[in-house]
Amino acid sequence: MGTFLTNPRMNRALAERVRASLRTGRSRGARVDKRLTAALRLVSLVGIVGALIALSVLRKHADDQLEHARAALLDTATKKRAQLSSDDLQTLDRLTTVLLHAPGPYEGDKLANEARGAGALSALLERPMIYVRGPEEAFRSDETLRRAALLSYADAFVRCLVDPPRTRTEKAYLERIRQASETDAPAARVHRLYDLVAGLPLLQTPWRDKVKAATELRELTSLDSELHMAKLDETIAAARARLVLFVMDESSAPTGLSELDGERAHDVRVTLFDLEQHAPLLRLRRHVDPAAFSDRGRASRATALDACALSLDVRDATTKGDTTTEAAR
Amino acid sequence: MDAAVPDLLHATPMTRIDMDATQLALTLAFASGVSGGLFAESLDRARLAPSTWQPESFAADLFLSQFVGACFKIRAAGTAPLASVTHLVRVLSRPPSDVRSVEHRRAIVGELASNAGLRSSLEKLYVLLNRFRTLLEGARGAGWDLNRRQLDILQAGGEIIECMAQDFVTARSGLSRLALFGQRVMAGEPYQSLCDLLRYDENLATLDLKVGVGADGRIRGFRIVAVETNERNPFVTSTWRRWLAKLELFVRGFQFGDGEVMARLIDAVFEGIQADFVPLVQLLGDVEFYLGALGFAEVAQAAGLEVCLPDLVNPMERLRLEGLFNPLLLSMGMRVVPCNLTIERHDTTTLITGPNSGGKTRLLQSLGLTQILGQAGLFIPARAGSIALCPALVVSLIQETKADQAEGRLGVELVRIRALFERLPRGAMVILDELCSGTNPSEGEEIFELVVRMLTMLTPQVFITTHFLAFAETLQKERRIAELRFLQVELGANHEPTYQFVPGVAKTSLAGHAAARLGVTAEQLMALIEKNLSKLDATAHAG
Repeated sequence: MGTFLTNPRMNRALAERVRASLRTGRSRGARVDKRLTAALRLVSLVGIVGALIALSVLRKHADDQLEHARAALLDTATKKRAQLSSDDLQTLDRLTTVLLHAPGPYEGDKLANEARGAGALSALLERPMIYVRGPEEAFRSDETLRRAALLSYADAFVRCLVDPPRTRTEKAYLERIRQASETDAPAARVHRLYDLVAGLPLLQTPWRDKVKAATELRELTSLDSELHMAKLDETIAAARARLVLFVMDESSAPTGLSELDGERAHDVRVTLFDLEQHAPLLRLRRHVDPAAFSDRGRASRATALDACALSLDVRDATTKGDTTTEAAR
Repeated sequence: MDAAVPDLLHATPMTRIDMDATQLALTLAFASGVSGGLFAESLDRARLAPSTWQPESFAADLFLSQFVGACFKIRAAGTAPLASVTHLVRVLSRPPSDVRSVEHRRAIVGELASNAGLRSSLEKLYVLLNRFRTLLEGARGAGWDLNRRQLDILQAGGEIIECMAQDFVTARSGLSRLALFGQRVMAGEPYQSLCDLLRYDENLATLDLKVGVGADGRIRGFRIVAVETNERNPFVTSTWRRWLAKLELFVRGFQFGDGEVMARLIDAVFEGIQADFVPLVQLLGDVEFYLGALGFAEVAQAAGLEVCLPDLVNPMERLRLEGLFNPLLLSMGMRVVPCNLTIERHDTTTLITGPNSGGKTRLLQSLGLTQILGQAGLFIPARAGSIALCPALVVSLIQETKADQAEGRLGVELVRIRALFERLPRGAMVILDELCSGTNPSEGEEIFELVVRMLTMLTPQVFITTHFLAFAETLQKERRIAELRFLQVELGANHEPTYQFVPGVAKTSLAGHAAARLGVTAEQLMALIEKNLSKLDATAHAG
């Protein structure tokens, strides 16, 4: 049996004695038989190597899982992103710029030609658009806007605007409000701003970089959950919209009475903005007051009644085309 | 000549120690450092060449152990190490039957005495052997580096071999065996491996350094210019191979480290050379034998006495001893008076008479020790002389009374005489002090004559002292026994013994002189009685 203690320059007899010393010699200071020591060391070594191999296999498996999850996530994101044009991807930025500009001094009512006349508004409402409503403070920063987007959805205003009640009566308003809550069909083309705010960042490069940088499956799982919760189909649809309809509730006098749902008399700005032309198609300012409704109606649906009435005001204004601003222009 | 064993004691080299047992003890001592007297035990149990002598017949009566302890003083390199007395007494008390071995020893002693260089070399060899012994038998202390100890042992062994091979090349006597043995070992692979290992231990590599010295004279740094490894040394391997060797040892159950690698190499080298180290144990005893003899000569010389290698003669030739002295007296600090002794032949019976304290017993001791030393091939306590080799030595000088002895003094003596005749071969040396002194002279003389007459039939060398002066004179005058010779203590002008011996029978034992010297005259005894009585009377009055 060869050994590293000998070499070719050694006399053969000496080399044989060195080998014999390895076979029969006793280790210095050892109290245990060297064969037992060797066996213990071998067992320990095998144990350590086995543990390392198991660790390596587990690590490889975890890495494979990680890469598989990463690839799946990136694939999903890539496919979704492929459905959007570069303009679509800029929708949120454009829209944000417009919305953050809204709280300034009111620039007066305006109706573009596309919004003037009977049927003009209905034609516009056939186009995909993004809707958001919130108090004036919500339009002052990205953060507040995001919060407003979260709370904003296709409410009574949108539904009544798209599918107006037959008459300006409280009963007709309530009927429309109830019908609207039973079906989403009229609001199918109106998308929540939140769908865009929540989903569009997931289709952009920083989020992909986060996916690529993730080192643990837990992180990817979290990102995957984020992706699936984002309702990307809604996001894609919202990103393709070129119109934005936003309603800004101005602050009312502090002395005014509030209904049970918080509604009170105040001014409301309604704007329909064309993002492609970067110009408002419609800009109106109207006063809403729930005092015109019955006590029963106010108690349960004051805000919705005001919203429905406001939608009719908008529709009336476009039908008649009697905005002072436009006229002035 | 067989150079397998460097035997200095016998003409035909022989392995006297138990090689297997000694090798095992050597291996254990090398491994553990605790051998429990490896050398002493091995030498004490060593075989000796065939000998017809029986130590119990003379060793105790001649105080042989005391003689060796007092006179075999070994001095080497300025030190006086203790020799193995037991081993030396065994060798001295069993002289070889083979005359060639006696001549072999005499040649070595003669060469050592005449060649100061060889003696110095032998002393150097003895010092190296003792160092080797000390390293092997030394107890291991805490923190002792076992590899270092074993390397020291190997180095000491190597130096011994080198000394033997180189320092005794010019020897013409049996000392030349040392050179032959050393050269044979040096030519072998185990010794070459030993030297390679020691060189590997001392010089793995050589570094050429350049030392930078600052303006203030202090060393500021150094730079390695070149590294030169001793590639021809078979123990030198590359760094990676040394690491692999360490890993291999670890896997095989040894410790991990350079020390364990060295331990394996040391074991391999020792395994090869140990068979050549075992004879060194026997050699130590042999060297002590000769250095002890040389020490005896120096002890005598310091006392103004001379020793010599005696002529070996035929028993029928003249017995001649000049300047004979008793070496036992050397250690007592007494004045030693040498004497001359001449008897016409060795194989005769000599009756020695003379006054008490005249030196008769001392003469018998001298003759006995002379025969032992001469027959062992060593110096005898005489300026010049001759001895005849004899097949046995029987000495009866001490008559001790034992608590369990069944016989009286005469009975004991007669039992010894019977035992003497039971085993006495022809031509032996017999030394008897005051034969048949334990009974009345008339009956004792009859036994005395009987014993002497019977002894002559074995043609021995016999020396007998007696106070049967009248009987001895009768024997001399009537020549009833032809082989009898007579010596008497020579007296000076005042009838004081001169401690010299001349032919003839003494006229008186001068017991009165001895009694007067020791205070046993009538007047002296009466004075003692009167003194004691007056003291008792005084005590009675006081009471």
